[in-house]
Amino acid sequence: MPTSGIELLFEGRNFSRLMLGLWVSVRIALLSMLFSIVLGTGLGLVMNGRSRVGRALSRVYLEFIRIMPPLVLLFLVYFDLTKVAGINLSGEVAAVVVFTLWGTAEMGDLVRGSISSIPAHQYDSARALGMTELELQRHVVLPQAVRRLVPLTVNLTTRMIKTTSLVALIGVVEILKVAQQIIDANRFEYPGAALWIYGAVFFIYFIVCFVISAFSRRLERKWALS
Amino acid sequence: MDFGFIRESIPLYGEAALLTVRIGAVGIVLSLLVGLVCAAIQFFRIPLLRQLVAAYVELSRNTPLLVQLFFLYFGLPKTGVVMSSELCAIVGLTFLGGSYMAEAFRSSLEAIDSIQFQSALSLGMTRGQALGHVMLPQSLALAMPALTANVIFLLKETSVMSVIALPDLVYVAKEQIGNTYNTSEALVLLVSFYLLILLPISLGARYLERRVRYANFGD
Amino acid sequence: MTDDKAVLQLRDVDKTYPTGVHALRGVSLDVARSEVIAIVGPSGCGKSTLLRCVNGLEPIQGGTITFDGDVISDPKTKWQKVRQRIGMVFQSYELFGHLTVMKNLLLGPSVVQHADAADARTRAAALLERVGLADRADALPRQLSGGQKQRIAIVRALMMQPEVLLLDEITASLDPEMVREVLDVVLELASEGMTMLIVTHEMSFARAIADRVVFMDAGRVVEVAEPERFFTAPESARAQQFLNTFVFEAPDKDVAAGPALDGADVGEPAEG
Repeated sequence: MPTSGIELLFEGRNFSRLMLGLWVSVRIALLSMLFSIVLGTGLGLVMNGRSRVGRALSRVYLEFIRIMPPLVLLFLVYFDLTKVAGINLSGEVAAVVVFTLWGTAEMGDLVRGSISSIPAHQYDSARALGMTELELQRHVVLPQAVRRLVPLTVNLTTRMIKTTSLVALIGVVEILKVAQQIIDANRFEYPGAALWIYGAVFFIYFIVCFVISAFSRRLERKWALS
Repeated sequence: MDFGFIRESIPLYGEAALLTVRIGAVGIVLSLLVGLVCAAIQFFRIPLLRQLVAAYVELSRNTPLLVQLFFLYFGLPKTGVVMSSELCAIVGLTFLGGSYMAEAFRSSLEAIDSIQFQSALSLGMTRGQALGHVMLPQSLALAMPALTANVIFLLKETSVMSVIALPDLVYVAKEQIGNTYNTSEALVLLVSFYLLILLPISLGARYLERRVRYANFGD
Repeated sequence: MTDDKAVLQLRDVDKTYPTGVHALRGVSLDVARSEVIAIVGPSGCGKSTLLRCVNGLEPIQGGTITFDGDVISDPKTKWQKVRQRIGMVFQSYELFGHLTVMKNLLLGPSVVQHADAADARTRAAALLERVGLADRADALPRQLSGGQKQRIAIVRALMMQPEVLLLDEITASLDPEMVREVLDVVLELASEGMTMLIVTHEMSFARAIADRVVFMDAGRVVEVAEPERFFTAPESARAQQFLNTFVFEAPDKDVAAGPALDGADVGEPAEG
């Protein structure tokens, strides 16, 4: 039955092309995550910090990023920076910039939440043991905050991978675009290909994100503080 | 910045914004319904259906809406299931939102001691009555932050609907950028109209959350 | 020994939890109409499980439970009907936190019995009056003290006009000074002829209210006796041992010079 389209998935280099397309958006996601973890930790510390101005500014930043759809942020950077500042960003670079801005806000909030979720009596009891502030941070706050933070960060990674699928809308050739090309090129031989190829893209995304979310859930359970 | 151009374009964006709100509202209401049904199935541990719900939740939460829409709009018609852009947008948003709402309901129901359920049963209520009259009303207060977060998340997610030819805000902005080169003006309008939709809802959600928190249900 | 007057009959009831805990091992018991039975025993002896089985909250694996001539321990039991006739009150009150006191009382009659609203309201007001809480009808549960909540919980069960009442450690979560106000309500119910199964740790209360005391240990009924007899001269060694845990002996006379250990002195101050 040559018209079904499922065999098209494995014809020639189609499958490896799809995987390469996936790698394009996963690469953007991982790079953005890397920057977001570094910058977001800083942001989180500022949000928990003593400076009122710092807290207010980081709050405004978080609120603005949170309220805008990521796609709109992507358009702002991709179309406007090119035009206004004359900086010609490739789609991929624009994407890393935008998803780093987005990820930094989300990560900052996770860091803030992880630190402030440590109950006050933990500080009290550490001080009662005679710990200095530094020892307190090092032995009491940090280990507990990290245990809360790591599963959340892993989970943010799946959100990041899902969100980076948006780069297809600013012309980056990633898995959806590759899928479209494969379907278009075989429109006459395999008229039903769209079902199978887009179905395959759906499941590829599912497998990648499911594995990471399952890992995050396991970490969360393992590290749950009683 | 060409303010004349902006002024002329406002009606165009206004219409697109209404479409976004309409699709969003219908999708969110349906998501709440799907979420409620899924949560009830999981609460009662109905065999088979329960596994189906679990599979649906994983599929929906671990794939991007964009990919879901491509499959629904371009893939599914090959099996004979053809949907208009608008219907497809609603189905897609509900497929995504249903699982998020289901999780919000499920975890808040789990947070209420099961002996509340038993005390309702001990009055002679059916399991459905105990869920509807005792468990759900109390879990709603706990679920509120997650539910409002989901509402805002889903409204933001509607921004990808232009890929299935739905003339929403992004669609209009993209057309203008392509046709008139008034890029900055189009983007200002795009951002402004999203703020117009999302800011009141976000503030309203925060107000609602605070009220519910201070109402402090239960003991 | 089949008792024809028994409203509730348990025969060789066996219960194992899914976790593998064997909670009831062949428990048999007859309860006559208007009889008050106090069930006592150490923690984990199965006494609460017994009440939960009678109310159908836990399925049993062996034996039968009969209520008013009908077997209620098989899967086809219409529990919605049975539970209207066998009320239950829990240790943790379990008032519905989103409803006022009055609405807590009316929910069962309206949802389950489709009772006339005005009639149910009149009955609720009368019952509230009787337990001394007529002025709290519009309060939310979180505005009530533990003792008030438990009195409301009893009234809520009474609203269904049950023939049997199951009370599961209803004073165990209460501050000592609130125990009395709840037990007074139960004593009054007993004097009116309500059939009751009472699981309790309050030995003096059990002694005062019960027609018979059932002592359970490790999932079995070890001893059934009249209260006077049980508390003065228990037959089994296990019961003697159990009752001894309630006797305080000062290790040293000097230390014991303080006030006697009665309830009011041991209690912590009530929380708001």
